[in-house]
Amino acid sequence: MNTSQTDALLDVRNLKVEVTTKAGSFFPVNDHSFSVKSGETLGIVGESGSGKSMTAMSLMRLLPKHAAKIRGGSVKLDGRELLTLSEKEMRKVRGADISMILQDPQTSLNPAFTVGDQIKEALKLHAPGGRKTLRERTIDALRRVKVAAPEHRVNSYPGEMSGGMRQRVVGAIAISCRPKVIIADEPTTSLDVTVQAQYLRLLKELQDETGMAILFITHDFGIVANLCHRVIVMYAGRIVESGPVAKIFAKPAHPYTEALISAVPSLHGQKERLTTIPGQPPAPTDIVVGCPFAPRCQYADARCHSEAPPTVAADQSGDHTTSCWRAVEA
Amino acid sequence: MTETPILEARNLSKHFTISAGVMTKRTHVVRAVDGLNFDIAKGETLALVGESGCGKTTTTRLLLRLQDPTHGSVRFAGEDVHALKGAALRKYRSRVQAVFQDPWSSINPRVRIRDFVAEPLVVNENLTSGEVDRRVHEALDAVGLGPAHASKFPHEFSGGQRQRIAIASAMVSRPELVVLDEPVSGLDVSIRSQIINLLKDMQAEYGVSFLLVAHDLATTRYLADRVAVMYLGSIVEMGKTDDVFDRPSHPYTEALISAALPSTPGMKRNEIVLGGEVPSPLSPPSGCTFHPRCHRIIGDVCVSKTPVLSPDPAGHCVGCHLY
Repeated sequence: MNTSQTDALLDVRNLKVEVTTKAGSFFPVNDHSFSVKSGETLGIVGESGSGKSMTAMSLMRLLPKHAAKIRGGSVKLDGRELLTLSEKEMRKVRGADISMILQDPQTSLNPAFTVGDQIKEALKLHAPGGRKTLRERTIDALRRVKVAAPEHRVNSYPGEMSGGMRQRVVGAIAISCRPKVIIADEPTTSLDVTVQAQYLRLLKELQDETGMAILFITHDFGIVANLCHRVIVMYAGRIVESGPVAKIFAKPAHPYTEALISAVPSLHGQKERLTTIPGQPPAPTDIVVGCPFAPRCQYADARCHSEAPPTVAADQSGDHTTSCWRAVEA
Repeated sequence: MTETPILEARNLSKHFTISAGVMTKRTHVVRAVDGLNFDIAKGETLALVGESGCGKTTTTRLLLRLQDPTHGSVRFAGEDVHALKGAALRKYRSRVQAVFQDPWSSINPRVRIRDFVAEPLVVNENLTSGEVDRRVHEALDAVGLGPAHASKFPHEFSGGQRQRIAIASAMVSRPELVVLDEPVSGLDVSIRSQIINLLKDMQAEYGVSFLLVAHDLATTRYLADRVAVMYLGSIVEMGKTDDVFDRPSHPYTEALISAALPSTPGMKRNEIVLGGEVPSPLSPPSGCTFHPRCHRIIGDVCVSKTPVLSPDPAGHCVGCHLY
């Protein structure tokens, strides 16, 4: 929202998504604005149901058609509006300009095809070539994600690989067409710590090499602290805080961010009692009046319960914003 | 540990035999758990940490007597768990309880909360229904859920509340040992700390022992008194939590702890990135099973000789030829 809009690679303005269910309709993505530059990693943090994955899916235009509709806003990639593209044009964008790494490598690969076939699928669509060139490029994609002996692995089936290796293959598919933006939706949640460390290092190296932008969706502040440049914190479908990682950790402006950071047990900290956030997040169908975090907020007053806070700057620099009445008054 | 431990595992092993193929009678042996020795004292939390496939879950299944060991024994309050029968076994089942990772699948969706929480009492103890009700309300109260919730069904609760219900059910028979298998990893960050605090409170109040299985090292550090680090079915290092985390001795422990992400940006860490992945337990490496990935390998001895887990005077054990 404060990065100057000219150098933004992906620029999202006032994005609104409505989901209709039997229980009523609600906005899992409510007026989101953010942007990412080339070579930058933006962390999207929030709990389940906060709208992280819905945001990712709406950027890819992969929302379930019958239930979810984009109700407004704009998504610009390199200045080109994505929301008004036809399905056919959008298909050329997906995988080529903007691609995605999903959470679960066990289910995001087809067990009946070799990993080579699955990497080739994306290449065939976006950069057709002869059989030999395709095979070379497939092997090259595997090599770039540091799969050992890619000439052999290209013929393996997903079932013959470990979880970490499969996640590398998913990564190879995502980067095979050298996209400008990668959306990674909790790609390391199902991996062991040592494998997670390897994978995060790999993502960083690929980014240095290609200058791609990464949107990293996670609920783990540890990953944010180590991988991301900037972060947006979501709660109940809204962005409650956004800014550079160092600032958010040093001086969180929103009570939710503050509580979330202090609720995580530290590997090196003392064994004091953990701070907890009482209660639980509202259900998506709950009608929220005022600030959605107010019922769990230790600072909430009458106005917090009745009026939704505006998004304001948290400090003078202008790159750190929050939506909290306390920041408005400060 | 001055008291006699509540649970003692001696040379505990579980080997699975799997067929080598459809056309052959040959079989392979998977040493899921191999020669574990550990104790759990009264009121203590012992954590098992390690990567997937290292045998943590098999160990808990052996303790819960869901599986019988191939070798070795588990003694609970002096008695061999795997020799228990009839009433003594039922008694064991109410003295040792478990809380599992996923509160969505570990609670029967068709049963009211009251009946779910009461089950260990109904099955294992002879109580009047008034008595059962009183104990259920007590247990629900202890986990912070009012009596009004007792008649509801599981779908009416959130993940954090469900985990509270699972804890209430595990605690209702006043067990002496509760196996916690990844109790918070299925929960959101803001809910996790609530459950971690609740478990600590429970332990302080009832003096129950915990066997914690977790892959999240920060949670382990916070909850456990002692930690056993497992690799390919064996314990490679065991000691007091602070000693293991602050001064890891085994190269694998070192790497594991260095791989955990620090919780604040810019914090310095000397990450040791292990090469490769955990080898298949079907054909574990010779000698020290960690040697192909080890960054401090000393020589042939690592490849040819299996290290022994030897305790130092303070009770800290390391299974490595370096020591």
